Amino acid sequence: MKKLVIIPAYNESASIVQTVQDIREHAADFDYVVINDCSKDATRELCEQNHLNYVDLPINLGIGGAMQTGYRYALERGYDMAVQVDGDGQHDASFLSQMAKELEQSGADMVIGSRFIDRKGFQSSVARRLGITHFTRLIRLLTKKTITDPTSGLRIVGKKVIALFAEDYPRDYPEPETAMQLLRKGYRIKEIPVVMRARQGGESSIRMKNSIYYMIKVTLAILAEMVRP
Amino acid sequence: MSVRTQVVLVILLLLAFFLLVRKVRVKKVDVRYTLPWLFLIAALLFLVCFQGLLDRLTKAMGIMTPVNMVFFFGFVLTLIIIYSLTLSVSKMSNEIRQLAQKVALLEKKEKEQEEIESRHLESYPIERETAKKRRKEQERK
Repeated sequence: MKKLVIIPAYNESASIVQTVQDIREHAADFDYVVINDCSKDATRELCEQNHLNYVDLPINLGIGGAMQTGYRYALERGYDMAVQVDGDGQHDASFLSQMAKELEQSGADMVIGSRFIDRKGFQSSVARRLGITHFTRLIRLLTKKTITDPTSGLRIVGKKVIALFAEDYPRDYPEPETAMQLLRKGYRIKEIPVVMRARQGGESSIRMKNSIYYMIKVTLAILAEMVRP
Repeated sequence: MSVRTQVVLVILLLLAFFLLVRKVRVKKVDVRYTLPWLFLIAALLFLVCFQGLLDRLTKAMGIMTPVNMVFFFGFVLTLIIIYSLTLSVSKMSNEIRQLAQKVALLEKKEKEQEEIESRHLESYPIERETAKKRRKEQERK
């Protein structure tokens, strides 16, 4: 089983080295690749100095474009599983092997690490939880399936989905949309409880000023999935 | 529509036409993208110049004055142009994304290849020296 951790990084110089270190220590059977999304800070230099395995995007593509680069990398090199771990240190690498095991044994196509099953660890802010509940309800309404944490970036997928994502992945705010996309196409998603930390550095891609845009865009994207062939 | 309005509109349309032609001459604009603009100018010129046709169209559409018909027509054509631009922007941003990803992954492969080669050469110090010399010679050329 070849397993790959994809770490999308945009201006994550504060935490990128630590994130990789965490993976090396707690998920040693995973390969990893950092996708530097044309960061403006020292992320690339840090990758170079610390001899991290990284891919350097020539222009900023956003989280979706960066993740897709990772899935293409996984597809080209014949990985059986690929998992997204954000470069900001929110995700604990010690859950990775558990998620890989779950993916293998349950036969699901995607396993999401959810903060809201056991409700332990960093639970995000009230406003964000409201937004997340909205997506959970919307997806349940449209597909009758419950995803407790549709915005979770910690997600592992198998070979079939790697190929799908390498072809077709949303440009920005991809998490809820891709969950919806998979459910619509009849793929199976499982969730397991994880504990997340507050981000260790850098800035969220979703700030107050564009949170309304985020809500509308992602809602539209989920609805758009319903009219796709 | 008064003759005055007619004259002003014709002048404006001709001006737009010449601006467009000027850009085409110096290849600042792709001919493919000038087609809808040319069509817009031609259609409006046609409407403005042939009063009889314009009057009939205006009546058929239930519009009060012919000049409004001209504006409406121009507006609809402009919308079509904007829509086609939205389509090309979406297509282009998709293509650019794919290109960037391919470039990044190729660069990665190239770097790995170089690392393998340099490691290989390091284990054969004599070969490394000759490789260095060869590279220098190539640079001189």
